[in-house]
Amino acid sequence: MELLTFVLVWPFLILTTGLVFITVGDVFLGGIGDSGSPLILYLILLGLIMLLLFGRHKKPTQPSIMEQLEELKRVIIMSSIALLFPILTRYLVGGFSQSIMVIIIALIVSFGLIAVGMFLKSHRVLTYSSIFGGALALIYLYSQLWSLGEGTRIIAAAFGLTMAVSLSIAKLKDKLV
Amino acid sequence: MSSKDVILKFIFGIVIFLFSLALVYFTANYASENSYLDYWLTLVLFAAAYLIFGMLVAGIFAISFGFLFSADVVILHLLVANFGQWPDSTKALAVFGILVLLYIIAYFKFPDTLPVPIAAPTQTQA
Repeated sequence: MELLTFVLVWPFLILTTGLVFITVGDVFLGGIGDSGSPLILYLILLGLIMLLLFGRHKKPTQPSIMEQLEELKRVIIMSSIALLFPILTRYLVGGFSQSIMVIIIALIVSFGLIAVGMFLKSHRVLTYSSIFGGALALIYLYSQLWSLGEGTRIIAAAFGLTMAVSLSIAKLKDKLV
Repeated sequence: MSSKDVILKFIFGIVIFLFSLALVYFTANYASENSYLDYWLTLVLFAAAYLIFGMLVAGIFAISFGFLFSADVVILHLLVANFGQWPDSTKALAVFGILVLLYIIAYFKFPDTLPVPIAAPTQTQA
């Protein structure tokens, strides 16, 4: 099983990276492949990933090749989750024709994901990916709620405020003592 | 394992990757030109076959990686050509499946490594 896992990880990560580029191109550029997506967007994404990978060396000594490869795997997984989750919400909202119920469920799940990321211990990969993925999804969902009328905007703002205050109380209160 | 063995495995892996890709696309072109099978269906069948075979021979890295990376290329080609035409619900399902797998892999394979505790030195009296 270990051998199978070892062999499958890199092909799966490459497939995931490709899927991220395809879905980002599909969502932001209206299509990929023959539609002529500009290369610049992919280069920017690649640059961000490289920056994440190489811009945060904390060790005084140069890491070995194996350590760098391990770090690359972590960065790929973190960035893939962070980008794929808001894209998933975009497809769900689109698939259900901007249904208010789906948007509300997606809002709750996004806040839940951020909460999970904030309270997870000893799991940097899931922590960062959950927080960033949830935050990006929230930005998208609030942009959708904006077009649904003033009442919905007020409810959405109140809900967001309640969640932010609750998370702050739960996570930050020990820092005041 | 010597560096010579590593290089040899790497070269064989690349050769298998290139030949397997050539086989896929030559067969898909032949099948579609002679109306035996649809071009995309041929690619799907080959991708599935390569994936299964790559997992079966996991003990031989050169063969396994060659076939698995070929399957990757074929699957990505299928997605690039057809993803935009899928309904949003199908796209959501595909992305959801990949996300679940990513979370499982991240949870089990990439926890934070704990620092190894340093044992306190013991003093022996003369």
